[in-house]
Amino acid sequence: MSLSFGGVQAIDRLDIEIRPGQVHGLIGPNGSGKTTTLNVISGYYAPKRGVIRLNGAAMSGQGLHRRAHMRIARTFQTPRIVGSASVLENVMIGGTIDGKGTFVESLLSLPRHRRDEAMLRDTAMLALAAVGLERLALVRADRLQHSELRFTEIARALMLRPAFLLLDEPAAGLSAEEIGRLGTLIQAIAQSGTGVLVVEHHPDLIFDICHHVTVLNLGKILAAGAPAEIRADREVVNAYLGA
Amino acid sequence: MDTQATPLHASRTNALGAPSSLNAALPFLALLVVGIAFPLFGGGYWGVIATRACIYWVLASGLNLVVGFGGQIAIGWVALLTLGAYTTSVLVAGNVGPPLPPYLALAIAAVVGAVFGLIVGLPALRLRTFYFAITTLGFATIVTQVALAWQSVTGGGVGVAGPVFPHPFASQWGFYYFCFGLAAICTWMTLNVAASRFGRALTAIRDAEVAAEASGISKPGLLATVFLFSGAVAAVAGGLFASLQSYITPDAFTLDLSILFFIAILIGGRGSILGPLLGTILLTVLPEFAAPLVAWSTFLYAVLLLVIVSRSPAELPRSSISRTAARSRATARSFRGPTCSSRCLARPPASAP
Amino acid sequence: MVESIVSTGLAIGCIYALIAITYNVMFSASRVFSFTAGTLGMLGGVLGSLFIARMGLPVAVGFLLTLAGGAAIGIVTEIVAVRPVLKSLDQHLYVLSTLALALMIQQYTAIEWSTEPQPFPRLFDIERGGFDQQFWLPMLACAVTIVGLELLYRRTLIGHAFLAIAEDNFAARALGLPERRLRMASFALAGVIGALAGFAGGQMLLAFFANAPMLTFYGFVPVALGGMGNNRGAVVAGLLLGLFQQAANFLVGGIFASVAVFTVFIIVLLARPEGIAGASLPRRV
Repeated sequence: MSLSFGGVQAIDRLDIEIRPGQVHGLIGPNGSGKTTTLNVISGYYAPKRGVIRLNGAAMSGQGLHRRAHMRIARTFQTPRIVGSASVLENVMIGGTIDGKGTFVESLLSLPRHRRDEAMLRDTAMLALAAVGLERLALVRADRLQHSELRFTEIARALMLRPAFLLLDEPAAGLSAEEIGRLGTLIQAIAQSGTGVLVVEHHPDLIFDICHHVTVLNLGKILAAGAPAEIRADREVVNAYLGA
Repeated sequence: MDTQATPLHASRTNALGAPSSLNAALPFLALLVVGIAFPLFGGGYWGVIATRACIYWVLASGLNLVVGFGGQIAIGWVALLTLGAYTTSVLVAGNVGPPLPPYLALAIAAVVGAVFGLIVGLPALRLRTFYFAITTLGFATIVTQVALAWQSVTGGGVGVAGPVFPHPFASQWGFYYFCFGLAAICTWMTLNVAASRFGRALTAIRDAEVAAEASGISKPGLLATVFLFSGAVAAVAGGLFASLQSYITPDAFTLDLSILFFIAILIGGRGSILGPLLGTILLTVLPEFAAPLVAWSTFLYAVLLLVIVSRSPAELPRSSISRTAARSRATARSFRGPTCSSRCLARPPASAP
Repeated sequence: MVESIVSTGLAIGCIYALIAITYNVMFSASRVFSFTAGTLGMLGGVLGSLFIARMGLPVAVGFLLTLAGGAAIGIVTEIVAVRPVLKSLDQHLYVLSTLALALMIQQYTAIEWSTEPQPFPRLFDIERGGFDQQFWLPMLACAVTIVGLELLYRRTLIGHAFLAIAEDNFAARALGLPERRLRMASFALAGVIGALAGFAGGQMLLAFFANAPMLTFYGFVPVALGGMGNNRGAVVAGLLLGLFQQAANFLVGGIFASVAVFTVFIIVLLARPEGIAGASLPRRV
């Protein structure tokens, strides 16, 4: 399975391929178009030119909510959660489309509703355990620290058992130790078969965990390849990584 | 330093352990007991008030899903009360076709309510908040005016008699138990929805719409479902209301009623079932305790609404923002090499060898 | 008959247009709509009747006091209903706070003034003619307001400041413009315009507390159709609305005219949520 797309306005002739089980890093300075790229892939914007393909079949341009059905999940730069609900409930939101019961069955608390609830609850606890937050399951989400919210978002995305996971600057605001945990988590997710795209600002995390790296500058590809190549690439070093 | 894992009060999902669910159920059980035993200690007059509270809650329970959970500011929902009341009364009185039995009329009113709930509510998907609020208000006015004008069917300004439900619900206390039963069922149903993926999806749409979409939640589908349900129960409440009043005229359905429902839900807190329930009871009962206040009741409700709204949480407290900023700086320092500044952008990339 | 429809339609259309401008002025100062716009219109009529008819003050004095009252209510709106919710996390609270304030004012008026419509005095002692003062007063008020606003925005410093705050809030603040005071001044101005609408329209609408919800709705239709913040669109839409309403009144009667207006309003709005002349907002990232 693979995901590739090319040609977006404000992003010039971008070609990216994300393969299952691999971590692809997308880095570049502020304003280089990283988040825009992610927004296009996740269906928030439609590309002006070019096509997004899943397994070779073209996907429609827009349709943020249809992406979930294709098992493409994402997180956001600023965590978007329901503050007044518990962490567990927030994570369960991620699995909403997997429920089978109808609204009426929920109204009347019929067996299928209860099975759905048990299934969602169990899966959410597993997702929280995967990101290391299971002891915070019943805490109100607005009492969490920023880093915990980031991991909660990842747990919510994992509820979809995604084929592809798109992470938007997941390391922002995390301490060095948390970034280490994040790196391990991303690698574990990739090893289970998910294709991961990490949009990041800080290069070190990317070089640690990615199989492929694409560097953007001003909307164009500056360089692409394996981390070792990129690190050594003089253009990239001059333009982005500094002396 | 991580967040303390203090448990959430009365977890809605009943995720872990029986004790928390018992805590959550206690207030409802208490209300159930009080409600059932009410005729024993309440007099005739208070019976009417209690019945009215039950009827208002039937409507408010549905509206709670739209406003409290879904975050849609549908101020003119009294229109559906009006529709339900008139549909039931007119069908029973036989002004349109042969007279129908009250239960059938009530069921038909529920269907009419569902359809109009959808019609009134769906613009929420296209319109900005204020526009939507105004259109619901406009709709409420229109419905009242149509009731006034359609004299052949609705009796115009003179009005029409409300339906009388057959034995055993014909007596005052019989009717009270009928309404109480429906109120209890509505409470149970909305509690179930609150603890379902639909309830959670509604709050997601309200507070984190983009994240909800990214999780595959379809806003139009979900809101349509909730508007259908909410419209139906509001119309049922209307039929019961008409029966309680014995006789309805268009000016029984004032804007004040709409505001009352709205405030009850907001006082109770969004995303809760118990809160709006208590709020509805409170607002129904309050004017009875202070007779001179009745004329000022809407004024006081408005003051209450203003106070609640003004006290909403403000921006994130400074402490968490500066904590995050400090961490970011520390993180940046721990990595070699500067984060790219305008310097990098200004310098064009060196041409490839 | 046609002249009657046209003169009534245009006159009432001007009243609606002025309320729409009230909405727009408040919107451009704060990016929120306030339910108090229609209430200000109602107060224009009530205060005018209070000062001139009931208290016997001269017309000019009553007029100025009414406008001052409108300004005061505008300022109160800003302090009590708008400022506290601008800082809030939930962006839609202004709907409820301004609704609450509008209701408080309406209820107070109903209780203290009267629940029945009270007469509004004739302002000029002229014979009741064909083109009576109740028709041309609103039109005059509308014309004066439009010209006045043009002059204000284009020629005066404070007008430029208003425009700056409306265009780009952050830049204006960065330049040192006193945002809060300008916003209060905008709301005071809006209050004056709303009160003017009610005062000029007093002879047509009478001094009646229930004018408030009516004006709240019908005054908003031109805003929605003409595009938010667009005063010229609002005037055109207001005049058209007035004419349409009167024509429908004549053809199918009062109640069905309201239904007709409402239906057209909803259909247009659903087809073009930003109004006929408005620009569609790009979806926020």
